Amino acid sequence: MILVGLILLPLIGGLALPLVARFAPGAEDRPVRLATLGVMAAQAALAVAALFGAGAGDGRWLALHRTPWASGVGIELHLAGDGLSLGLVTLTAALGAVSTLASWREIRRRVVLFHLCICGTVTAATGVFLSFDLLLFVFFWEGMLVPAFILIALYGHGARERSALKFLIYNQVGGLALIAAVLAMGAGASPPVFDAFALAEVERSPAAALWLLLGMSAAFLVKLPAVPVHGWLPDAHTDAPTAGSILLAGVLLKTGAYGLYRFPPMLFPEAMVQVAPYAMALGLAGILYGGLLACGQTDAKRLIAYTSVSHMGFVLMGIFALNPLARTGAAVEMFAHAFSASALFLVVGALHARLGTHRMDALGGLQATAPRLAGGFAFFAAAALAMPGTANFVGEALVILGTFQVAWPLGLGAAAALVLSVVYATLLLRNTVFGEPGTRPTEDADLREAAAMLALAAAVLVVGLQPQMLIELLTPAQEAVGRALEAASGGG
Amino acid sequence: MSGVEAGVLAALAPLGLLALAAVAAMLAAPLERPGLSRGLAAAGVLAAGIAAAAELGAAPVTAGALLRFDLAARLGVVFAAFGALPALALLDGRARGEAAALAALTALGAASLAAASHAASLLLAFELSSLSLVGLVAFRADRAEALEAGYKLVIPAAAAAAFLTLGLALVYARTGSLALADWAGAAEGGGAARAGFAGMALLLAAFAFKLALPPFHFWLPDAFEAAPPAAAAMAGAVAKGGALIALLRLIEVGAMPPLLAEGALAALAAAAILLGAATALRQEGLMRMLGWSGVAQSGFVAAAASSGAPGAAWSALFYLGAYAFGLMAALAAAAAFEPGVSRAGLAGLLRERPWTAAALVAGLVSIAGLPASAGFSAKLTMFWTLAASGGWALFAAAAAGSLLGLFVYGRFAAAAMQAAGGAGCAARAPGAGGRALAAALAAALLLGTAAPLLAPGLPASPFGGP
Repeated sequence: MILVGLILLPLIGGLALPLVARFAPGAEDRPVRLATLGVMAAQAALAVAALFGAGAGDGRWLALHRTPWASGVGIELHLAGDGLSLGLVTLTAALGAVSTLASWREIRRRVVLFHLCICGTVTAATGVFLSFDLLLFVFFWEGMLVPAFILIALYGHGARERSALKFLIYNQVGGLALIAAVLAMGAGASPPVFDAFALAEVERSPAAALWLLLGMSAAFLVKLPAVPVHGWLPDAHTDAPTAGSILLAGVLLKTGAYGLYRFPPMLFPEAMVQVAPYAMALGLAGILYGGLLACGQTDAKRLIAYTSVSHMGFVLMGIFALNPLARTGAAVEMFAHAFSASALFLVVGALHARLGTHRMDALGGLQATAPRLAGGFAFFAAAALAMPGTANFVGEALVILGTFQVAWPLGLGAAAALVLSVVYATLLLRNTVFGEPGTRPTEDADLREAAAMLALAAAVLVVGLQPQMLIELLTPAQEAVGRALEAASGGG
Repeated sequence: MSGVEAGVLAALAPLGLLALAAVAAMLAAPLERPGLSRGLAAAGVLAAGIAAAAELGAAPVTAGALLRFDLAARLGVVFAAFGALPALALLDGRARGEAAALAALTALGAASLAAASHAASLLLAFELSSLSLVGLVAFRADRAEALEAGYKLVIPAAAAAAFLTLGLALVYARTGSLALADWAGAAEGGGAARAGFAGMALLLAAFAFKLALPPFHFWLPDAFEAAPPAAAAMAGAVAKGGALIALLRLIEVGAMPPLLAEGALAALAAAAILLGAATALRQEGLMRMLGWSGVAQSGFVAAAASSGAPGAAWSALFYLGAYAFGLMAALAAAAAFEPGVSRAGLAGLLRERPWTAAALVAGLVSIAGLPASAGFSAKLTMFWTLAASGGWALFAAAAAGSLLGLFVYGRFAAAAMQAAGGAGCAARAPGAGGRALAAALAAALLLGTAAPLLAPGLPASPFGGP
């Protein structure tokens, strides 16, 4: 039941926002913003409660929920959460709160719809992380598109209309491939079956499994994004409002990573082993390409967007290295990237709200004019370059170590990419924190922004210094993947 | 009065009420009080819809030789009546009373077509819905575009009627029966039996005209552009309903051979999807875009109908129903603008006319097939039937058309979200009724997402009865 609550809470909370605005008007729409924060706090609390076993789980799952719904057509309300999914749900709620805090200054008009879109994104992403009925999964997967589209198209900057469309089209290409794969798996049976656990038992010919894997992965790779299909991301990140960038980087990208982590090993382990070398190469391509392009940017937001491509390349590589070390690293990196990229977007967004630009040549000299923002920038840039002691270091180091075990040239390439990350982080710092102060005075971070930065910094450090806590949470999911792959290689 | 007769009367009552609505609106027209005509027509249409909906659970009934009311026919009557209702609401307040009468007549034609079980009723209902639609499209005959759209509709309508007549004649020659139930296998066999096949092919062409499938589609975009939104609602949704059910019934009884019902219809569907979406992409006018999108959407309906999978008929009906809601919502927004509003003219809609914008965006989201909307579920079930029947080529065409559609509808939705220039938003502020209509349509689109959950409670085929 707690899992159903996790999906309903942000949905109902979001739908109640117009009522809040109607019956509790306040200056600068404070009640709406506070209500959104309250919803996110309650959601995070509920997710943490589920993490500590408040849901009715069994050994493998911390929480389970299963209601026959429209069983004649194979639709079931089948939700399950382990440390990985519930951790991501908690992260989603926390980033929903961070987005709300980050938009306090930036969003002045259509405030209710804006927060409704935040709640909608959180609802849909939570559904993605918890659904094990694949039709339900598809529903939530597609459901992420509309609120994110509105966030970009209505509240964004620059060529927002174009960027929003690009986001929509790229992701729907993948989405339709996912729909095709899911329907091909389930629609033909009588009665139709869309339950992932039931589908995992079905015997498939190698060719069919390969096609299904490719179809499913198309959606995940676009969202991740992997390199040839990443084109939507730099534009969408750059033109989105701060909250949109935070939710894109912190949540939507993670749904792609989660999908790859969870479903291919469960449904098509043999095919996954078959494609693993190519997928790892794709991951390395993303790491290098994203890092190189980040070094060439003059816009701070675009630079951070390309670092996302690079970091998600690590996740892709880790998932397909097919050993426990790299898989653990990939899962940790998912969280680490969410913290650091969201925080960087928060800082850049705060600067944009003050100075009206995120071009780096206009942002210089922050350390003199806005020391708190400068400090945040420096800290999270250090996290992005995977400084030891940060969560990102744990994630990337584990991925690289794991990769060395299976394919040392790829591991070497990934390690070399760390040099690139030093270059882009330095560029970011040189042009913003240091350098000549701009002509306009900058107001420093306010209490809300400082609180959000501190919370994210704490998360980066806790995971960086005490990774065992997070790793233990992620282990059951990691081991389940390992078992599925082992059974596959043992059987054939 | 025996029980059978009572059942027949109850089944016929909605058609009678639709006819009554048309007659009452027509009689009131000389009073030159358009509101009265619209009100009378709306009351009659509403009563017809309620009467038909109340009978949805009844057993199939045959009314003479001409009409048979199974579940699909009853659904067709409900669809026609409730579809005409928003169309009447969209009718320009200054339009003369005859327009309301024509809308009710179009609905009567579509409803009768859905129930037709005989060559004579098929032809009469087909003609009734075509010709009253011509009148509605060309209603503002003082406008050259309206006249042109009327001509563009009346000529293919006449050709389609000729196809239908010739087709029926050939089928009669082959089977010796005018009753639809006797046409099973009419197109099978060689030699003289080829007449049956040719007849069925002609019937398919006639229905393709009604559904605006290429190459019989060109009248629809013109009608959308030149005619009032009310006519677009009738042409784009209501009139298609009757034709779709009649076509599905021909497939169901086994009259339409697989080569036509699956092969040719699938080809028409793919052509409609791709041509409609690609052309819609190039449109800058809202109504013309919706017109070309109407061609593409018919393609999706036909794709579901052509799949031959179990539940294909349900899927096609559901798709058309969901599309009708989305179209009505978009048209409700279009009616707030001057005719011929362009994409750029939508600017400021969301900021200044949130109700109208909600209807437009909800409608476009649903037509695009994005969640959470009825259109998403409809598209998913359509893809489902294609996957279940192994129609992957058509699946790919439908997927490509959906993607193009995202571009089409996304551009317009994004335009409605942009800030207006100096002049402000061009849309009229909606009255209380307009807001209620917008809210109701948006809510219906949202709730329609859950419609497939009803599927387990439905009979396997809509043509048997509950």
